[in-house]
Amino acid sequence: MDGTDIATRMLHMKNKILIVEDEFLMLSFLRQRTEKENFKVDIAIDGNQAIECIDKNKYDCILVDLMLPFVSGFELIAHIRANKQNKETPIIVLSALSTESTIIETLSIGANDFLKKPFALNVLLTKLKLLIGGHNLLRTA
Amino acid sequence: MNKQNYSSVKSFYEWFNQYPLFIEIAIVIILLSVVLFIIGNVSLLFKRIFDAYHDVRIKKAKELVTAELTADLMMDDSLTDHDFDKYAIRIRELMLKNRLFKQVLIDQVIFYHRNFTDSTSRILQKLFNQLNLADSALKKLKRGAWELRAKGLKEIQEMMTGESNYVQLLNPLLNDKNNDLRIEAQAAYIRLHKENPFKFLAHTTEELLEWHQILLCEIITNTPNLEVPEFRIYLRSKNESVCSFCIKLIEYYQQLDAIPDLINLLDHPSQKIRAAAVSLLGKLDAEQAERLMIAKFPMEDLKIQLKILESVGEIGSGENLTFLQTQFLESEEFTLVKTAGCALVNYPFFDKEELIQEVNQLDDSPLARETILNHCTNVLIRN
Amino acid sequence: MLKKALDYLIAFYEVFMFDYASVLMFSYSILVVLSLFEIRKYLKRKSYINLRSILTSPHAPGITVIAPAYNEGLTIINNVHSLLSLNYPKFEVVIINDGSTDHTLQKLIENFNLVAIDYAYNEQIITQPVRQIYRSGNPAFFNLLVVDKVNGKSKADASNAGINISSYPYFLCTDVDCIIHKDTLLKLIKPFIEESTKVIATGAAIRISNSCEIQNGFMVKVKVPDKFLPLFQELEYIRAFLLGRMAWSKLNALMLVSGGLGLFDKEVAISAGGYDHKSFGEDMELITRMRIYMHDIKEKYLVKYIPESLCWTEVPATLKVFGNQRTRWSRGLAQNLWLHKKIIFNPKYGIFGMLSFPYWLFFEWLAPIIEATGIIYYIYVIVTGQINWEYAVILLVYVYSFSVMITIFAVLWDEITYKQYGSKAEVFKLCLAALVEPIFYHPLVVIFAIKGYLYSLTGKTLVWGNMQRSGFEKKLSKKLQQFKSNDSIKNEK
Repeated sequence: MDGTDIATRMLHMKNKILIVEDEFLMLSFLRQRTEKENFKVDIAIDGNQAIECIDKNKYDCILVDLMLPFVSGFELIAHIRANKQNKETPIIVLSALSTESTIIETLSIGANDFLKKPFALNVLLTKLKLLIGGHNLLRTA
Repeated sequence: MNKQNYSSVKSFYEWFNQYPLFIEIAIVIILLSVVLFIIGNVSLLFKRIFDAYHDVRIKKAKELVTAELTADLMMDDSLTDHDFDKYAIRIRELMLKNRLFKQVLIDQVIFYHRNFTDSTSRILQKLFNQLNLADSALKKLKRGAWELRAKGLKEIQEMMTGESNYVQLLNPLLNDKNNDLRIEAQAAYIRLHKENPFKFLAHTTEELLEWHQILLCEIITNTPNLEVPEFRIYLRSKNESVCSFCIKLIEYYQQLDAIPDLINLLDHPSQKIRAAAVSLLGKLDAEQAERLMIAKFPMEDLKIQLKILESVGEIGSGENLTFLQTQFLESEEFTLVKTAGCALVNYPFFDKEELIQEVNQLDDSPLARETILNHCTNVLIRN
Repeated sequence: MLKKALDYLIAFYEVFMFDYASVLMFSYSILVVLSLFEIRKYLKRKSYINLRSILTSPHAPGITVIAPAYNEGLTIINNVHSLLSLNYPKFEVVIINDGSTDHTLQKLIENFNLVAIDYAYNEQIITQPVRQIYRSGNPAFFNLLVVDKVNGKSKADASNAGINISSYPYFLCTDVDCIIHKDTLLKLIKPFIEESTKVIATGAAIRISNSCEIQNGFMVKVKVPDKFLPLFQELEYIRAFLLGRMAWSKLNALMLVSGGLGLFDKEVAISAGGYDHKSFGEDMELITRMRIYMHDIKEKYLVKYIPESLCWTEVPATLKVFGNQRTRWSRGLAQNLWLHKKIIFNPKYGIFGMLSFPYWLFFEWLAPIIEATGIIYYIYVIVTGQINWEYAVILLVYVYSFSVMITIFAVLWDEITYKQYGSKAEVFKLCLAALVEPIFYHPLVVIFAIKGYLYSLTGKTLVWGNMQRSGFEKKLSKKLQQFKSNDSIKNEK
């Protein structure tokens, strides 16, 4: 099995991600930007919608904002980790809430990475690709 | 016609006059109430209609602007100058439609600028400059209403970082009597002033309220390439709030050089400052401060005593195990015992079993010291 | 002779009635204007301030959210979730299970994976014994704390246990069944950190959730109540909060922060002795005592209100439950005024003693009595045939038109601060209700207030314990029994 081979196949497969964010401007931009990177994107503007999506679909990565209506980001992460099909799905937290304790808290609940707003878009995209496909996807893409 | 009117007014007056005073007052109030009732209802109706119209316009403007900004401009990292100009012209057209569009554009540029760094924010900055949006912000500063000036200052803070030549515009506002306006001006000052962004701290006489400190801290910690001074020079400020503000900044920037100055603050007349100083000395692991803090412990009031225990625990030098244990075993104040217990948990050479034995040898104290110790060591409890 | 004395008395009474009503109306007019200034100032600041700064700050003060629960098994899980997802960087949620006889505690334990812990509890305010303290084993609920205690037959006792265990300098007191806006903590903490004078408590407007669309403990859509009784109460709440409270807040003479939603300085609250579990209006009583304490230690302080609706609560929809609630409130008011009578016109207590306390005595406490005697008087003159119908009608219209006008302005102020309702129709439904409110609703309020005063005179015990609540259970929907812990918004009319 050749590494590049897997990567090319993954490129064609279209990875599916979920973006959970209550700020409409942020959400619409992130969606357009990730779709351009060839991801298949689902969006949720609140915790309930997010849970609905998570229960229905399996994702390759989930981007979560911590401040959400209805279900807090913490609970959402816990929910993802308890969900059968998504318990292994990488989670990246995007939040302006970035005190040390918050970051530790989110990571210990099960998030894979934490990006403090403001962040560089390319860093996000890189992390996304890394978490999904490992280094291979990054190199080919 | 006029005459008729006159006579009806006259007959009303006669009718009105026949009543005693209190009924007259009542009639006047009734008429007034009816008129106000009608005015109230009509305003309700008009407000609703106007708002509905305004909402539709805003929504449309927002959609158009978002589409224009995100569709091409922010989508491409390697934008050529030619492409950029092409998009900028399209956005300018949108902006020139009316004032509403312009404000929506400014708000969205600021929003995205605040949420992204690097290439995205660079492009937005370029757009802001190209479209001369700074003019709009500066114009707001000259308006009369303070809330508009404050909004203008917010725009300046976000988009005009490092443009020192506008600093003098802010000078008259730095000591404004209006709290909100003053603080926005100070925040803008920090953002614009390249060489000495904190110069105003030496001159500010007004109190920096807790909320203001939060705002300024946010601005400071989010300004890239900020010229950070040694904040210890402001610790001697006569303005107490400046002192407590600088303690926060020393913590953020971990300025270890400030430790001797912080130790001096242990004699500060304000309890709040002393508490903050003790707490920060702990966070900076200032072993050299331990002896003085412990010496001051018996004279201090409870709040500071608690802070001292916390700090000694945090410094964790290993030299004051007895001090903490004594406090834990001998103090009769619940909070002191608990704080001492929590400070002991991670202390070098601390032996829990041994301490519990000592607790058991004590006469029955009303304080359940063993429970307190268990509380402190329980990982599920974090405070 | 007797007849003559009676005539004099009647003549005097007529003049007094008219003057009393006029002074009352005049004071309302002032409240309307003052509240407008306060609301305008608030809106101007709100127009450009971004609360995100607090959200991301490591220096935001910590807040403990205290919510007592008694037999709330049906809704507790959703409501705790809703409290846990408040927007704030540093807070904990303390649920006090006040000796529930249903499965409230079991549900909490199962859903939040609670573990009993050996907690060193510091009983600064004496309460009924605490049986056990729980924390979640699931790190996602790291800021949840559940206290199981013996029922103390009052919300005050449960809240006190919450205050004892709280670890942050401020606490928010609420009810488990209240729907709270997610930015509540951000908005309520702001006065504490932006005033140079010490703020000891803040509150915000409470609204009625009876007909609102609520999903899993979250507000989906705000609606005007359908039923008459809640509809009138909504008007009353709007008036009380947007006119009364805002104006009093401007004068720093506010005497009540509702039990349904209030943020307090813990240190001052504890020093003042916490909630009084014997009081029928413990929320008003606490503020009174905190104010007295601050005056006694001679420190300047503020009690602030913000003109935003941040909390929705279910109010009684049947006459019986409503009557009980109002009787209790008026009793609480009478009790509080009597208990702290030394404050009245005592210059030591500043504007609080010179203005707000007397105002509550003469216009809030006394008004129902004056109104009741007024009606008796009307009946008397009608029966004895002394009535001047023309004057009588003019005077009635006088009072009526003024009160309707004031209500309309309250609704208008509410619209200016925030458009709560989706459609014009809903707002005009409120306006229509305002027209009939003085005729149908107001007399009820008067009757129940008088009943409350009578109870406090006779000392008749109004048990708000478990017995009465389980009595309701048979007839009423589950939620409605919960007003036991209600915010007493004793209204500024």
